[in-house]
Amino acid sequence: MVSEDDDKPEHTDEIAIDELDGDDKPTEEADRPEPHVPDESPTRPFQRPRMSSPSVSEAGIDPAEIGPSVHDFDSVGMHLEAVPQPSGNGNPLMTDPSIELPEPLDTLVAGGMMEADTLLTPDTPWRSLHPVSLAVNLLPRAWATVRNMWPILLFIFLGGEGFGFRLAELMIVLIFTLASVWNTFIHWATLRYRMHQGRLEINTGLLNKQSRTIDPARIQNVELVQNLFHSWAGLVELRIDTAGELSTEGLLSALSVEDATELRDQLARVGSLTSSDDESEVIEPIVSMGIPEILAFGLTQRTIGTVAVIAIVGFEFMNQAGPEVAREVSQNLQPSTIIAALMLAFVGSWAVSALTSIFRFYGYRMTRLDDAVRTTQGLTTKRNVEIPLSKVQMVRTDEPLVRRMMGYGTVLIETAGLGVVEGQVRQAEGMVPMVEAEELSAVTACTVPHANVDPWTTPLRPAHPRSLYRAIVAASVRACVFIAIGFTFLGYLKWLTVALLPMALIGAWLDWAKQGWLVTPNSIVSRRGFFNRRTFILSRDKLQSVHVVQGPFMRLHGLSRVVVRVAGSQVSLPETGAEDTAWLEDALS
Amino acid sequence: MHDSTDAKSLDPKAVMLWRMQRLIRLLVVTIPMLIAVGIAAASVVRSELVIVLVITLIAVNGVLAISWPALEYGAFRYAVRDEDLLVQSGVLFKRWSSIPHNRIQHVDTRQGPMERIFGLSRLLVFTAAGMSADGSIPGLRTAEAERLRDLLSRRGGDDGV
Repeated sequence: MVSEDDDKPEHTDEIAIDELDGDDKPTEEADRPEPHVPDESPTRPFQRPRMSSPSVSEAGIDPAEIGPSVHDFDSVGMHLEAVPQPSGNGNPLMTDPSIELPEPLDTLVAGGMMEADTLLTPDTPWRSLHPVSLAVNLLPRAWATVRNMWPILLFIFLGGEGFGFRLAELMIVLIFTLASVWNTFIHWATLRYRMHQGRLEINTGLLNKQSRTIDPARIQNVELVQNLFHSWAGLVELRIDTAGELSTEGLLSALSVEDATELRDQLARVGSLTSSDDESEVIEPIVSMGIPEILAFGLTQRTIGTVAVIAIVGFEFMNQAGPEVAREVSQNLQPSTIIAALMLAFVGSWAVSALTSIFRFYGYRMTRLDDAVRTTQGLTTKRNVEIPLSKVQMVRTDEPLVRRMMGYGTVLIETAGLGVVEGQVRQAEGMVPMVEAEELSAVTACTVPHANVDPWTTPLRPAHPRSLYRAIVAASVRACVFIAIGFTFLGYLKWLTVALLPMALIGAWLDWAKQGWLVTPNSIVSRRGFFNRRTFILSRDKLQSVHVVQGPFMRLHGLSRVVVRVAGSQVSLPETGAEDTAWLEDALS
Repeated sequence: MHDSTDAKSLDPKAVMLWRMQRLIRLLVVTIPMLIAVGIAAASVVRSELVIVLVITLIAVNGVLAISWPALEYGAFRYAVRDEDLLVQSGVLFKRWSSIPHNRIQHVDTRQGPMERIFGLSRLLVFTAAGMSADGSIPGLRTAEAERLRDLLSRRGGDDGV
């Protein structure tokens, strides 16, 4: 166990603000109704996510022992005391509009409390979510849960032998839906937030209480989401990502638009975000997308998975219709019919993909602010994401073959924050779906300004020639495995699988030929792939660690692979020879 | 993959520790598993063949358990340089890692029961890059591990997150 004193220098960033206003602590301490603290601390399970200052939780046990490090104790005291006593202590379920702030305080806050004000005020009032937000969130959340369980639902309605079996599955769906409704309710009823002493504090939870303190300087990105219901009610959901856990660290769902804007501005004054006052500094929108471009994006998404699902569902339907029908259909099945069905499936999945991208990206616009990029997108659910440029860890461009031939590419901006959006991990926080090929370098340049590199005009260093041998051997082995499987299981079609071998070899060669890497004084660039060309650009001041790996076969050829890691992801460079690797080791460490 | 001049090796006792760990794993996991698989296979294939195969596998594993740790020990180097921590490891799959001091988020020392008997510890270095440790140095004398932990965790700076 590291002692408290050892611990401090590491966390200077964290406690800096607390130390700033250490002067006025004594007066605060006098003002505070002391008896509350010992009363409450035992009943409060300390699940503080602020791992960085273990001394805080220790301080919570016995305030008297702390002495000099009052500021730590103080921040705990604030939490305890500030949980609204009538509702927060006994029964938070009794929350009602009476918790809403009294008028004078409200106007004080809305009147634009400056950074200095929040730093000096002994106690900032807690604010709760908008009263209407519960009603607004219930339906979409329940729907999202049901939608995420579509395989089960499909099974219930298509398959299912006995009635009892179906009932059990319906119960599962129901339980999950109820759980999601309950979570929504708890979130609405117990969440209290405030901007206090330069930090955003969020308390939630009924049984497992959680108080979270977010340092605005650590915010990786802020997302304002407004689905159809939100926009009808004039509400907005605020999602704040820091580099911690796998979920959105600060979720406020939902606030009125004014409250959300105000909170964002307050965060902006202390942290690295841009406040709405600075909107005038907006440099021209970097990218905006029309409907044709959005459609093109949808059409060039991968669709094979969707086709498989449609095929399976169709097959299932046929079985449901009755075994005789299925037999009849399969007997009358001509190759042309199969091809037509497949075409239909492709067209269908393309249509679905195009439609979803319209919903997602309608009105897409990316603007560059002074030191951040902001994207706005969405037809029914509007999203507004702001990413401070100082937090961009890496930029990746994806140019799948079809999209590349159409003259477009996709830019993905990654920060250290990992978000979970609608059940799936979202790695890229910012996405520019369709960028014209000639603008790719401009867009990436503005998202990683420090990198100062243009991989579309600068020639990249190629992968080592001998890595082609390795690629060819690997591709042949893989193709041979498939051919062997084909020969055991397929009939006269088995000779078709032999064609896999030349295809694999050509693929390996194309892939190798398109690889490239570049290390400049400020940046690292790595490019891979022919069918789905990916270019990774990262600024060297974000580098977390550098690794060189070499397997036995690579050693045979004198090759090795350099892997660089940044917060949140890692990038491997193409295989390099001994001299290049040695040079990279020297340059990057 | 070049050697740094000031690179250090691990404590020589690490070889013995790793041998013990591998032998224990062989006795507790590998041999029972091989015997179980062998019994299952004996009903399909000729049992003499299975016996020979199982015994060979156990023997190979035993030889590896004795000899491999020495190779691993020989391949392991670490160095604390001005700007970064260098770790080089691996016999077949070689790995060379450089972790800049200012990117280190925290440093752990860990000691299992076997390691305690030998008076050794493991050092794990974490950066913001991932959930797992970015660099790890096993088989350090406990005092050395603690010295390194204190040395590495004291350096601050911009963590690039």
